[in-house]
Amino acid sequence: MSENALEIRGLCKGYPGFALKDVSFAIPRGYVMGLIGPNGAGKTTIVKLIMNLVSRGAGEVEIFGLDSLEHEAEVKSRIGFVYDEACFPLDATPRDLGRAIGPFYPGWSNERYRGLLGEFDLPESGKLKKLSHGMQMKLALALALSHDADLILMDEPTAGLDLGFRRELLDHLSAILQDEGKSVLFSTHVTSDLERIADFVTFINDGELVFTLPKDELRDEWGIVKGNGSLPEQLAGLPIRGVRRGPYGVEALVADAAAARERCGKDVVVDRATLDDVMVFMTRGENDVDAR
Amino acid sequence: MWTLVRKDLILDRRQVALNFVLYLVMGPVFLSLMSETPVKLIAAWAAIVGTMIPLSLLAREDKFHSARLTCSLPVTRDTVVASRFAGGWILALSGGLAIVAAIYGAHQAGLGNPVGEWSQALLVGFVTIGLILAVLFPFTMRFGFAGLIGFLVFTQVLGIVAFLSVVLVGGQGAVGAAIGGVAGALGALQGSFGPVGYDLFLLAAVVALNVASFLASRWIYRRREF
Repeated sequence: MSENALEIRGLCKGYPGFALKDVSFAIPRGYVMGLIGPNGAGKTTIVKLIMNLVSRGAGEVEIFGLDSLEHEAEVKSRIGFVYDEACFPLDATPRDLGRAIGPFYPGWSNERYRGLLGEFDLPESGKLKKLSHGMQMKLALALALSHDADLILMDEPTAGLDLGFRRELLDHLSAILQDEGKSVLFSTHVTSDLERIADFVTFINDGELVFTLPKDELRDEWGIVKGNGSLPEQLAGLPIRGVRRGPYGVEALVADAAAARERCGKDVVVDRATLDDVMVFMTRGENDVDAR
Repeated sequence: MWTLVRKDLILDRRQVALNFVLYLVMGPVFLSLMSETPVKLIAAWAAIVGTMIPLSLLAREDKFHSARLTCSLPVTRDTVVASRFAGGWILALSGGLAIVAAIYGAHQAGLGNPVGEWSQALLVGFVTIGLILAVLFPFTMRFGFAGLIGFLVFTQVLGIVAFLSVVLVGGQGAVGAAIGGVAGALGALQGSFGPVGYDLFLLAAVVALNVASFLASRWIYRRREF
């Protein structure tokens, strides 16, 4: 039995003006992985490739050790998928969706579906067109969680939601995930969504994998070093991931904050790096500095 | 496959019901507008209108992007195509039969004057549905509702080209010869097979055409991206 819920090897896909290049990463069973990157980085393409919604250029996708093309129906029955936008007929009702979609899944539970609709304050018999975008995303989540899926795939589920709604959705999600030990791939460009729930973070930029790491390693070892114009020279030889120059000095994202602190002492300030910092430094900073 | 057909019927049932109500009214109106109506014409018309039911659902699929939902379910693309054919045939046949039944009922109530044998009409209806679905399905599998519109525009352009060739370059001979050739070939087949053999040949041809269309649709849909 594979130890990974999802394993991607050498995934490639070309579009005019964009290419996903040789992406590989894995999610161990029972863990939550955040897939982050700026808009257009390739996150949705990866999710679509996992779901076989687009054809692969090259590479392999294994879900619970099974090839996702060869065993398509079998692996999809173990996936709960939340789309970046609802793709349901808007004149249908949540009850219709449950009746229509439930029979595809051996593990479907009407009781659980109704329970989640109640928990999310979704009316069973109201037409979907009367639901807000946030409510429709909650409905998609309810559908994804009602068939005892082992792997939950979510493509930008919080995009377009206001802060309150986003927090509510994430609270529900994290409670469910903590209780049941599901494996999750959560694609988002709103990195704060992942601070609480992700165990691993995979960062994609311009179709390429930048890193895939445990979130704790990022939190504990990475840091933002703030100093003067000579900071890059002071940090020479350390793993610098990006540099930003501003009117009040220079900031550098380093993958070894302790070493930077030891090297520079009181000349610099070292702060903990958030996922936002990581994304900003690695996509908008001068990230072609030495010692990558 | 039947779970997919069931899903579509649940989620599109309002549209399907609306079509049925509309067609059940249209049938008797159609009959009342004509003094003597050949039943073969009634059947062909009912078949064309009946095939509009599954084809109209494509517009909904495009509008709601629901093909993404379908293809994310635990089914293969081949099963999706099989369900489209099965559901398409079921809806088109039941739609066509509902119209014919409405017309027949209206006639029994004293409306209109259909002429001809109803058994022959059923064959015409079946063949018409088979031809339309077999030709249109591969286009719609690749392009959705836009494929249907594209095909209809293409046939319009073809008609205009044929018309212009007749008017401008005196091509009536070529157009007439093409139509006459098809009619002649069918007549020759009827002559050599006999009436029953010819009917069986038509049925077999429609089935073969649909099998070819199904295989082409499967090949196309496996490559479609959402």
